Amino acid sequence: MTTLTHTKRQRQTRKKLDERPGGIGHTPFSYFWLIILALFAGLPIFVLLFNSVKSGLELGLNPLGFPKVLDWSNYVTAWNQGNLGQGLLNSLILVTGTIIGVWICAGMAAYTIARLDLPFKRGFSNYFFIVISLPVQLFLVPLFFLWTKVGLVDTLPGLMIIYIAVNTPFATLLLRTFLVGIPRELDEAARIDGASEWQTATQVILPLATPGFLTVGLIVGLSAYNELFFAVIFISSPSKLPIATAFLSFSQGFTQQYGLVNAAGVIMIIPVVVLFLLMQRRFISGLATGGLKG
Amino acid sequence: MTEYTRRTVLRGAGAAGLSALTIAALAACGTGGSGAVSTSSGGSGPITLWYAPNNPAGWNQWKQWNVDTFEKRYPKIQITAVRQNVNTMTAKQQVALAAGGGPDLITTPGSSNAIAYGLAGYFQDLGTIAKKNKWKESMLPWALDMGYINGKLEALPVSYESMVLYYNKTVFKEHGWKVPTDRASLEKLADEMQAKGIIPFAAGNASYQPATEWLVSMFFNGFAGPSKVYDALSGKAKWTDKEFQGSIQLLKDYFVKGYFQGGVKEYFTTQDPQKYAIFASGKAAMYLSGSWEMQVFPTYFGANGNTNDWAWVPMPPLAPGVPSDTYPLSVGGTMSVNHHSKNIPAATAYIEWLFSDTKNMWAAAAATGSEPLPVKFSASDVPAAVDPRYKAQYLAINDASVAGRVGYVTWTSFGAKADSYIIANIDKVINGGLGVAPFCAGIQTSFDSDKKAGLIPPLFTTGS
Amino acid sequence: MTGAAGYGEGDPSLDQKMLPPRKSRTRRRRRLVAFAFLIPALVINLLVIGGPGIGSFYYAFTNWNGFTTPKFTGLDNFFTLLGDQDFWNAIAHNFIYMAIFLTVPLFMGLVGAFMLSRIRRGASLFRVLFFIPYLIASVVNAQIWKNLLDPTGGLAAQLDKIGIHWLDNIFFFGDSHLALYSVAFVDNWHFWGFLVILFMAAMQGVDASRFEAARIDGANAWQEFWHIALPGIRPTLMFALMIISLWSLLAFDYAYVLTGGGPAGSSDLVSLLVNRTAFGSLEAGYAAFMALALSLLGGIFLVIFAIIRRNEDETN
Repeated sequence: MTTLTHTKRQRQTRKKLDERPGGIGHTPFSYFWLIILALFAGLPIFVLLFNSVKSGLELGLNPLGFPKVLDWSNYVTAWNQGNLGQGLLNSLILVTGTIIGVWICAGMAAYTIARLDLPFKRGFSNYFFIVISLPVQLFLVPLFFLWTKVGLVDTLPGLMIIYIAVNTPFATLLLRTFLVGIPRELDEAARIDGASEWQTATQVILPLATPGFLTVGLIVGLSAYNELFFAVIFISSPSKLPIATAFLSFSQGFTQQYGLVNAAGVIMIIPVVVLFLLMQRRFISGLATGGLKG
Repeated sequence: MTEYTRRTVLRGAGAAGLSALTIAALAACGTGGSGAVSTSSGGSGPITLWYAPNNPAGWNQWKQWNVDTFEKRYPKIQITAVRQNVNTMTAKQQVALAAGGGPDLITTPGSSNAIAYGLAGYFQDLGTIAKKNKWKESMLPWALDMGYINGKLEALPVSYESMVLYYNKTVFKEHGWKVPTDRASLEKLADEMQAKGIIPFAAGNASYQPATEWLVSMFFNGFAGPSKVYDALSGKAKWTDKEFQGSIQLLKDYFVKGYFQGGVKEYFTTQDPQKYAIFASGKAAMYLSGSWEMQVFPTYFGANGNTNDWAWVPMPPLAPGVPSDTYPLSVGGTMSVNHHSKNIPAATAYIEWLFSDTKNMWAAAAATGSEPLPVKFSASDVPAAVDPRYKAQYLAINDASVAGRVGYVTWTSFGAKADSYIIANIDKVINGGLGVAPFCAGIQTSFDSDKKAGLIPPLFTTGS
Repeated sequence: MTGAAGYGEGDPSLDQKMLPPRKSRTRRRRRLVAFAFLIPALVINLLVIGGPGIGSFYYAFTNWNGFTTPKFTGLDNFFTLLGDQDFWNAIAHNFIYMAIFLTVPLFMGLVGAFMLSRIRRGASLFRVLFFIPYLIASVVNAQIWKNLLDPTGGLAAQLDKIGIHWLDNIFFFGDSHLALYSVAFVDNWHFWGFLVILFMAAMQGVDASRFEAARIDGANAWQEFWHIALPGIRPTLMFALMIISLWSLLAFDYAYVLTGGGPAGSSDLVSLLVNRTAFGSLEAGYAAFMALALSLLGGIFLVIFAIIRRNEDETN
């Protein structure tokens, strides 16, 4: 696979779109399988949606089908009882902080591995690879000790730092592949013009690597939003629970009331789905443009 | 995923039950509690307590009887009750304690856990407080004894319970059945029930995997007998002896026959709400479990159109020579003061209040069915609002404990390692993946390890 | 990857004898700056993972119970691990998990991506639908499927009503023969969409003219797939294989929430066992050793993949 510039690839993609075999008439076989797969992926979600608006009584009679009566009270109850509003707010803080932190740490690290004269480049790269493969239990307990000593236990910033650390290796490696594809001439031009390394990085290369940063932002944000394990261990105060743990507590208490639990699930999913719908084009073109050179 | 687990209900029940003990008044004199509080200078300031409710309603109830009432009495102390998640609380508390933190008031689900913490030095010695409040006279002796770790009173039992046979009274009446009194009558009854398409015992551990250890405890006591269990716990007998192997084999046979929930797979799949529902509706006729269930039954029996009613009897002996009318004793939970707490006076004040306010305890029991503190009481101390079955059960337990007709449960009288081993492996036995003999051998190995580490809780005697 | 050209290097106008000292000073400074860029990531990493990891490394060779002072026990934990049936049971499950994930979702992802690349209308809609399960948190997913696969209230009951009894008496999470596969199924449902997007993006990078040429030569869809698409996305495929292998060793969430490792250990995974060992049986030292063993295994996989990659780099 040859390395192409950003604009060249865009032209190629557009061209390919036009050359595809095309609509249902030409590719019934493809559509058939796609619909099967779509049902596989989508039906459980629809069941979730349907059940979230059913009252307890209707759930007993009609556990899986389309709701006859739309009962929105489940959402209200779930929101209040599960303290989901607070959970969403906490998660928002966590996700924003983690994304920004990872952008900075992984961005700089990837930049230097990809484009600067870093000694032991291979070594650092391998180090990050290895860290990805470590099970969390390996460092969980000593980490908790450390965090307690410095007073970061049961704080959102404390959890944020952990998330940043855990996500940076993967983000670094992903960003590296994006940054490698940008031609060197731009760096050189900037350096000759007298720009410092930092200026080169931020003003010249960074704008070109935006799709990569967006992709990383999405992946990291998703990971921080859905994360359960660390949140459960490190956060005790109910007011600081992120949404995933809030949902867990809620669902354990209301096992029998599927409608309520489903409503809570939908509340938790909505922000992510909406965000994804808005960003999906950028996300996919981001993946397409760079991150796949392994 | 977990709703009415023994541990969660206990935490709720325990703390609610903690509410009150009139100490001197309830003791030898047997007069009603006055609710008078005899505490230290009281202390002031903030303290924290961690509690994992079984459901949100349970949280409010618990808070009402254990936090709000306390705060009214002690306006100078701000108690922050932090709601925890039942599955993760043990891990969190353990790590927090190890790091030198943790809440000011530490609760554990049983003596087996408490000992390990005590030996590690996390607990404050409450001996002087006990003397001052004369707990030795007012509390049930066996329960108070369980709180001693290395000779120091460090983990106070805050609730207690036993294991009994519950049955659906309505269904029994309908079919003219009588409660079983020994193994033969039990099996005959179960076979009859199966013939009629009724499940003999409601059971399920999908919500709370360790639930199988309840049955192990009941079968050890019912088949091998409390004296034999005592011998094994004191080292005179071995867990590989034929009486214990026989107990496990019988349990397994009953599972294979389908007595429990209709089959092994059904047992593993049934979550708590379903389990209670079939017991309340009569699809299952009996239920082997602990006193904490009395708190749960009102939600299912006589509610939402259900017209059935429940009753209980002590577990019948399952082998000749085993005494009947015995009650395995279990400490539902313990409470201790964190040695590293920054506000020990206030924390101690809470514990003292807890054990002195009997009126609150009984009010909570009447309102919610929560378990009582392990204090001596007589029938006249119990207010009329308390469910008579509840009253009868606890009176029976108290009488039995005085007379020595008691048994042992795995989570109170066994060491932590043996308890975890049983929890982790009994499912494999009933599933057919592990043999009875190796299972018992494994218990022995864990027991020996516990003994070496000094983790076996104090052993009360049995045998009448 | 060659380093960027340095200042003045190759510039013929500079005096020849001035180059060496200036070059080495500049070089050193450049290397320092390069290193400086790495500092935030390194610091945070060492603080959270590296440092505590070393702590665990120490605990792994002790008999620590999680709170009292640990005592060094040398290789005791190693010998315990060798004889620990629970561990070998769990790791066997991890490998089964890996085998499942290296085949089923991979195949589904490839097929899905290939199909998507061939249609024009509705691609967006399908993409979104495929990806949504991946967006949802594991706890929510687990809840959805636990309800769906419930023998008394879920799909099985519904199918019964319309006379289809295929799912009767199937205890997805209660049957020890099925539990692991049921967990894998739910995890797959969650994960597969990610692969579709990954592969689809990769396929877009394959030269379109090659597809054209093949089509002109009369190749059918399958041949296009096997001979053009697959080879074309080889680096991504390798990346996916590696990530899947590693994540299979670390799988935790779904088994934890759906079955807790049961029934009777039939869906137990190493990460669950480590969790239980550390917090349930108070054997934090042994648990640390198990985690270490797992990392070692992961490391072996990394090395295998690195060797494969290096061979590829050489042949390319």
